[in-house]
Amino acid sequence: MIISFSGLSRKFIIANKIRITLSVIAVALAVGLIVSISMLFDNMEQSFKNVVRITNGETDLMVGFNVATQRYLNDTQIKEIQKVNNIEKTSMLLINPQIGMDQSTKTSSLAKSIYTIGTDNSILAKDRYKIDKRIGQDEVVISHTLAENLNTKEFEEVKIDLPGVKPRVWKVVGIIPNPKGMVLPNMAIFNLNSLQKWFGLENKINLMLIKTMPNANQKNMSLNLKTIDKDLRVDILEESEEVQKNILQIEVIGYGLGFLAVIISVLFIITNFRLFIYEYQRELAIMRAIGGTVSQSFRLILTQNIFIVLCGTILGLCLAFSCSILLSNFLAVLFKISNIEVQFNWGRILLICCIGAVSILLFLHLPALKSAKILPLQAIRENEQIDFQPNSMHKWVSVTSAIIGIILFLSGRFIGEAGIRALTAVSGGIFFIIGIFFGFTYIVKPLMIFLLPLWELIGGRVAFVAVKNIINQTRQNTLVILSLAGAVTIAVTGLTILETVKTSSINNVYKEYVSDIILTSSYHTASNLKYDFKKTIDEIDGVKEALPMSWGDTGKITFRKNSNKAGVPDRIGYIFADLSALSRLGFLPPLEGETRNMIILTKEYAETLDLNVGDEIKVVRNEFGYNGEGTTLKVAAIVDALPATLSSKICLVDWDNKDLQTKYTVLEKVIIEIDKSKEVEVIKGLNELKAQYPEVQWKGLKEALEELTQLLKQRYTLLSIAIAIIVLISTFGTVTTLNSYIQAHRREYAILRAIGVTPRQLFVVILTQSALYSIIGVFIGIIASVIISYAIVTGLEVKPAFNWLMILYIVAGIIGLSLMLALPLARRISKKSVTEELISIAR
Amino acid sequence: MTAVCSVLRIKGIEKVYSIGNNKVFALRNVDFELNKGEIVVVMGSSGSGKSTLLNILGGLDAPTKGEIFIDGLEVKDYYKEPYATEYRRNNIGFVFQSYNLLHALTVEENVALPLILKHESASVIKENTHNMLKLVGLYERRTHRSIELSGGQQQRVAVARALVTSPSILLADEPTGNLDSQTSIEILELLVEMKQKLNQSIVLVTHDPKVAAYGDRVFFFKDGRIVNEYQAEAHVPNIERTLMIMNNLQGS
Repeated sequence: MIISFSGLSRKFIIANKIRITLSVIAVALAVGLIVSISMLFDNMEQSFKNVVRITNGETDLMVGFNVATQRYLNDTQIKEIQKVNNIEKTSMLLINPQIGMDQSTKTSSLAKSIYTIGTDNSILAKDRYKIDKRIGQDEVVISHTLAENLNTKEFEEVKIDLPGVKPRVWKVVGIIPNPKGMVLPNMAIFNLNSLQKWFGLENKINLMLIKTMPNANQKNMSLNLKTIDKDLRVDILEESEEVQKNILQIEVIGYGLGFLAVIISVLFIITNFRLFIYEYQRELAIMRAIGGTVSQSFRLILTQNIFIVLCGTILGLCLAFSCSILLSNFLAVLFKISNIEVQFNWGRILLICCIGAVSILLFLHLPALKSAKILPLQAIRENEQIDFQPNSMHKWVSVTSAIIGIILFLSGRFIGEAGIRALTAVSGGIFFIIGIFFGFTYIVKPLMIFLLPLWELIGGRVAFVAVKNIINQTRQNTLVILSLAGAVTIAVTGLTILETVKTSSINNVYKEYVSDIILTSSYHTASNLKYDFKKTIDEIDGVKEALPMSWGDTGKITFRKNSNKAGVPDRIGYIFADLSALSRLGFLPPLEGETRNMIILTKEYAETLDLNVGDEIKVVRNEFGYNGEGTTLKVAAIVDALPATLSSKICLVDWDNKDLQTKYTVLEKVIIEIDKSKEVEVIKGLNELKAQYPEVQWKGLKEALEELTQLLKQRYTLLSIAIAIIVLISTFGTVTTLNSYIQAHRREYAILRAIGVTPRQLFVVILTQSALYSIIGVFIGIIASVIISYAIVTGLEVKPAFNWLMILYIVAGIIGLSLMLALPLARRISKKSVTEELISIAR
Repeated sequence: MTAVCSVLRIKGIEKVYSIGNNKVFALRNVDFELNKGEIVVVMGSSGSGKSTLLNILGGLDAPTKGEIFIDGLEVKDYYKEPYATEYRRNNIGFVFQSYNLLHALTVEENVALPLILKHESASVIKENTHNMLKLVGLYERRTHRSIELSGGQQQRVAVARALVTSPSILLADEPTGNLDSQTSIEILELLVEMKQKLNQSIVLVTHDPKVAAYGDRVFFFKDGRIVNEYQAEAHVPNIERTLMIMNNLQGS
């Protein structure tokens, strides 16, 4: 026998175990969802940042002069740099001192391609260049590529030849291996003093590495550094375009899914807890009638809510933890990827849990507090009111949210920087969804009335009764359907984002690999391959056409005809290509006349430079010491995208235009069209070419796609895990919601039985109601997910890709699982004794 | 001869509901007294105001006007929280038509509930609960859950729960409304037994003359007013009383 108030609370918890369990599950799913998403996106963001760390070491900023200018940092400048606020440590380097030296023909191609570094052996430099030992006076550390090209091994002595100095013998004290999936250029790292002496540049450096203090504003530091000398070049290493884009992508997806997770969590909890508190009001009313105080009611609810939230939060945490670990391992095995390490930032996770738990507790407590305060009689009266009328606030919230949503979505498309645009668009989508969800109260009843005849046609009289019975229960219908819709929204949105990321990456590969084979150089910009290399490839049996394309170069626009808009940039980036051949093969539109002075731009670049077809500009190449007049170019065509080029901020000029070429103009790639019947011969020819030119490498579309798939698997495994968890938890949420709904209606079912509905018919009634809710929920969920997916991917500046087949599977899975759950429950309830049910659930 | 002592006196009680611009008088200027160890029955048809009166007496609803005296002292704001709870806890026991037991609890826990809410000690809770259960004849079934009992037994539990804190007044709202005639008699006899053994004052609301026959005095309500009163004689058998009440009812 209980004799205390706490005993009473305990007793209520034990006696209401089904209701409590459902509420605990709802809280667990909500916490699990939010923690999983936060944790996995945190991991994804960190993993991208780690890639930067792995590449750059601890270096945050690099400051120095362009090597081509042959300027060096003097003592005053070094001191001024070191004095800038928020610098933790610095490192001195001399980079490529051979550039600008005599590049006589006597010097070998290999010597010209070597990237040379003189280091002060500081930790910062060692970390950046992956050197694990101190480099002595006559020692050198070289890249694996250079070791192969020089045919040398560690601890051997090797003669190194660089332009402008006499060759010298060095002892190889280390070889830097190629990182996974990458080929390092020819690199040689020397002791700073040795390199300075070798080139006669004592005490001269042209680059400093900087590690900043934590939380330092690197942009401001960069601006401060530039004030020291106008020619100083400052690079913020974390801000490379690709890294920034990836982090932005993750943030946008994370915020989008995070907000959705919160919305769906709230719906899960409301739906499940509503039943709990609704039933509980009767008990509170009785207790108040027999002498219970408001504070006692409050304490009773508080105890139970704390129990629910505590159990739910712990379970949710376990759910998130085990889901991430199990799914990581499962996906690692499935995709044959090693080393998926999901890091648990326990401090952050516990903080999220605590905030979540307190919010849920407050959230649960507000309606309960209201119940505790009202007079006992009113409580009983209110409990008898099943239906509710949508109030004017719902309407107001709905319309306002939808309008705000549309405004934000549209501004997200057109106004502000990329990052701001993305977040604005996502917020717009979320506001619009909130608008739809709030407005749903108004359409649920007409929607059900509209579906009634159809339902009768499919399921007969029993189905008609089943639907008719719930039409007026607006609050319950709204909550259950929106809960299901929320689950579908988050699952389909997650899937669409994954599909979009995949499709846009594949499209990029298709854009780049326009021909059968693309040949590139492992020396990158230090390549020795020039335009003439085309002839060598043309000679290979089976090659129909070889179209060389150069690395991007820049020039200055000195004159414009037909265009005088203010604020237009005067720098122009271009790639040399065989315009007539590209046009002939259909990669460019037909070009009439002499191509020598033609320029082909993308739409985007044409807009940036304010150029139209027929406009003329004069461009001077950007080369140190060049004083020529430059060349006149005429815009011949404006296209959507340049062939085999991902960047849209560049244009094509013809190889015949020698005025713009420098001695450093080398090939980035060669587009090779082959005779398909002679593929074997072409591959053999290319292999022979590789023996002659070790830097040559080539790939077909197939290989590129395979490589991309592997890269995507590695890069987006965490996203896949996050989405798998979302789908899983959402499905369970749907199932729990329906379970709550069925449990809440047991008395109604018993009454139906009592007035002549057979167990079989009752079975049909329960299944009909579950199916109706699932179908409407799925329908609303898909509409909502299309909207939110558009908002998220608009932010990412790609087109959304819907994998309808997979969406169909998920939808079928959710409906199937819901019905599978409803089936045994329906069977059990339909078999129960009517009187027992009426008595046990009696009010 | 025992001295007549007033436990409850109400004076000029009114209850007006405003519906739009219209006013509906549920109670109009109601006065009466309840003596120690007396059963007062309030009779009337549906909508006559009898349940409103009971709710006001129990502090479950607020009167528009009027005063209430308990043991000769006026109680003010007794319908407002937190006084309402204190007022109910100290003075009132409730028995409802639909029993209103908590199904999560056993019989003895249901009975002990008001004592638990009153923060009584464990020994007092146990002793009072068991004594009360013995009194209503359900001690042997004390560990059963309330839903395992018959309707009559559940109402006995409700009576035990209402009286376990020894309230000055027991308010019973149609206590036999959900029971068959035999069980109804058992419950009414139980109430009379409680009156005699505990000197309990009871206000009972009913529309059934057979139930009203168990009262010492009967007030007849119509349109929110007491329109008639019947004083029962101790020696008059129940059947006679019933007939006289029916006559009074027709007359009012």
